[in-house]
Amino acid sequence: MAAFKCNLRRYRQLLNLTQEELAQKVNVRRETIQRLEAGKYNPSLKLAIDISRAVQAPIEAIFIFD
Amino acid sequence: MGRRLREALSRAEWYGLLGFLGLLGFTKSYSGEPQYVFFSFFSFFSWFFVGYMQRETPDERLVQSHQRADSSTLKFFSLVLAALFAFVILNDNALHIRYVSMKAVELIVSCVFAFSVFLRSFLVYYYDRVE
Repeated sequence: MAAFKCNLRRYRQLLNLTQEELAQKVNVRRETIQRLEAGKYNPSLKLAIDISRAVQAPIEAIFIFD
Repeated sequence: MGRRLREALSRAEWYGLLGFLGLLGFTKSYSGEPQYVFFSFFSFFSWFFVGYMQRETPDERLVQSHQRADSSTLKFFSLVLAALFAFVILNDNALHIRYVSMKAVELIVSCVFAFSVFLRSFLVYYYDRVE
């Protein structure tokens, strides 16, 4: 898996969203959001776009690949 | 059965208890024949690993975990087939076993079936929750 840094937690907390709430918004399980924030899961393009829209931030600001 | 255990297990995970039927494989029939086919019931233990998924809506990561587990289980099958192939070649050249008991075949097939079902479920759990 390509190494990347994930700023999702920061953007999620800016909107006062819990992991569970964000998971419901993008139709995934809470564990998936947890793994994403830990940089342990490389999401599909669709999920990345859904997350980007949900936290109102550009994809390249949320997921930073080396 | 304790209340805590009842709460911990969902309805699907209770199927896992059917795995104990596999112990019947150690018993013998009325005619004294071993009943190895019952070992395949050990595969029900896999419900302890995948039962929790019945409570969750699958997402892309769960699908990916299933695909990875399938791939790893296929590797296991490939190893079993390679071992079988090696046995056949060895048997022709060195072992010269002319008679293989049907019960031995039953034992191997039951155990491989139970182990592969269990392995797949364990790997799904491992990729999804542990790794």
